[in-house]
Amino acid sequence: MKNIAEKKGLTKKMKIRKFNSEGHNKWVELYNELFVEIKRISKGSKISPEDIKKGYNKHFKEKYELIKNSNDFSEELSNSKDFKVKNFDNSYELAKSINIALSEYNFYEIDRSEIWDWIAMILFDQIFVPGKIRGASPYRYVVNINDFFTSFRHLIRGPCWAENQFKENSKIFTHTKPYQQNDWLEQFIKVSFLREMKVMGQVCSELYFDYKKNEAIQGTSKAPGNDPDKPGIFPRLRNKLSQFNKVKYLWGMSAEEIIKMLPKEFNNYKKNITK
Amino acid sequence: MTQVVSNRTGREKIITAEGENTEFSVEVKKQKNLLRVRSSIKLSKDHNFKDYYKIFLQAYESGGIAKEPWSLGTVGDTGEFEFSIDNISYDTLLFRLKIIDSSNFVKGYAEEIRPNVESSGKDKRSNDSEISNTLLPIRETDKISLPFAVEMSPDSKPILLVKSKLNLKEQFKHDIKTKVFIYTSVIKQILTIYLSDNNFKNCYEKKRFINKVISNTGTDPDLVEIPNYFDENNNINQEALDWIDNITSECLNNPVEFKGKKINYITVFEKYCREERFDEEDED
Repeated sequence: MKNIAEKKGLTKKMKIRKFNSEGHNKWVELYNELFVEIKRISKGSKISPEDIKKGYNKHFKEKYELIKNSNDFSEELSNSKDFKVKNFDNSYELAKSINIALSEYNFYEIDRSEIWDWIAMILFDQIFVPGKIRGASPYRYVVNINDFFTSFRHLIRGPCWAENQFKENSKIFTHTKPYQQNDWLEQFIKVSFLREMKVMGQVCSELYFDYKKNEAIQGTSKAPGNDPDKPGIFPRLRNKLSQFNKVKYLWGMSAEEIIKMLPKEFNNYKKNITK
Repeated sequence: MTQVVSNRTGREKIITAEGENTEFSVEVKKQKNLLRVRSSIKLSKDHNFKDYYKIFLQAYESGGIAKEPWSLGTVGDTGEFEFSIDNISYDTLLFRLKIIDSSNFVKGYAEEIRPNVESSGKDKRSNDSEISNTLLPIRETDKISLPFAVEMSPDSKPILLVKSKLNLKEQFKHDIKTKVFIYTSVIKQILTIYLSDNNFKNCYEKKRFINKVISNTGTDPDLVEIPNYFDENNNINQEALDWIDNITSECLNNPVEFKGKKINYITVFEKYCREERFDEEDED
C-alpha cells in the first residue's frame, strides 16, 4: 500500500531536528518493544515478512504517531536547511537530500544518534516497510554510534556517510531501496585501509557499477561460496590494493591510475560496457 | 653510522624507536574533542633519498579509521609540524609515515608508530613502561562488538580491549565487581588459548603471562607443573580445565594494593554481592 505522500505526490519541507533525551528514549523503547513483539510472533524461528506485518500492529502505529506528531521530543538543528521529505526511490536520493539539508555541518558534528534516529523516525514508513523488509534488526533504525560496524547498517546513517564521502560515486553503495541493506556498503566498510579514501568510490563505480541498470553489477561485492577466488571482483580488488598499498602511495593516485595498475583478471570489469 | 634497513622492494625503514638514531617522533596531546599532534623528522643521509621525495604522515587505528594523510613537506624541506585530529580514539591511535617519489612509489616507511604522550594531568596515557608491571594492559576500542575482548597474537602481550565511550576502562579500574567479572573471564580465556593453541607454543609472552599469574598466587612458578591441555586421545584434559579455573581463582584471591589499601578482590566482591538487595519485581 502506498503511503500518503506517495499517493498525493507530496513533498513536505522541514528543518532537520534531533531527539531530546526523552524523545530518544521513547524512540529506542518503541523500536525495542516492536522488535520483541516481532520475535515473539516468530516463535524463535527466522523472522518472516509476515511476522513483521503482524508485529507492527495498531498499538505500535499509535505509539509511533504520538512520537512523530509531538515537537516536545525533539529540537530543530539551528543550521539545518530545508529537508524535502518525499517518497524516495532509493537510499542515494534519500541520503543526498539529507546531506544537502545538513550541508552547513561537518559530518563529525552531525554524527549523533539523536539526529540519525530522529530522521529514521520521520522516514520510518519508507525504511520500515512490512511485507518488503527481510529482518528487523534494531541497528537499522536505532543507531549505536559506539559500535563501529553496526552504525553503518543504520538505514539513514550508512547511506548518508557514503554520500557525504563519495558524492555521485556513492551510488554503488546506496542505489537500493531505502528499506534495503546495501551489501556493497556492508562489504566496503569492512576494509579499513580503503574506507576513507575518497577516490575508492570512483574506482568501485568504474569497475562494478552497472550504469544502465543503475545498480551494482550482480555478484561483484563478495565471493560466492563455491568460488572463493572468483577473479576480478571486490574481494580480489581489496587483496590487490592491499599489496599495492605497501609499495605505492594510493592516496596520491587518481582512480584512473589505480585501475590501470590492476592485473589482467580485472580486464572484464575495466571495460565496464554499461558506461 | 646509522644502520639502514631496506627490504626487497627497496623501501627503507625509518627509525622511530627512541635513541640517538631516531629519525621520526610524534607526540599527541588531548585538547577537548581534539588531539593535537606534533611531529618531528630528521632523516638520515644514509637513505640517499632525493630532496624532492614527498613525506606523508597518516593517523589510523588498527582495523579502524584511517585519516587522510598530512604532508610533512619534502625530504629537502621538512622539520617539525603540528596538526589536530578528531573522531579517532586516543587509546588506539597509531601513525604511519611514507616517503614517496614522483611516481607515488614508496621509498621509505614506518608503520604502527605509537605516539608519545605530552604530560598533561589526568589525560596522560599509560605508556608501555608504565603498564609493563600490570597483568593485562587495557585499551579502549570501538572495533569490538562485545563489551570486552582479548587481543592476542604470538610474541605480543595480551591486551584487554574494552568498548570505548562506555567508561568501561574507568569502571574496570575503580569498580571491583566489574574487575572481578572481566578478569575471571579474560584470564581463563588467555590461559586456555596459551595452553591449547599451537601458534603460541614458542611465544615468549606466554611464559611471562603464566608466570605472572602463578606469582600472583604467591607460588614459585618453577614449582608448578602445568597440565597438558589435550590428553593422549586428543581430548580436552579435565585436569587442565581444573588447573585453569583454580589458578584464575587463586590469582584473584590474594591481597593486592587497591586505592592505597591492601584488599582481596574476591573477598570484597563476595561482600558486595551479599550486601546487594533486589526488589521482587526486578527478578525477571
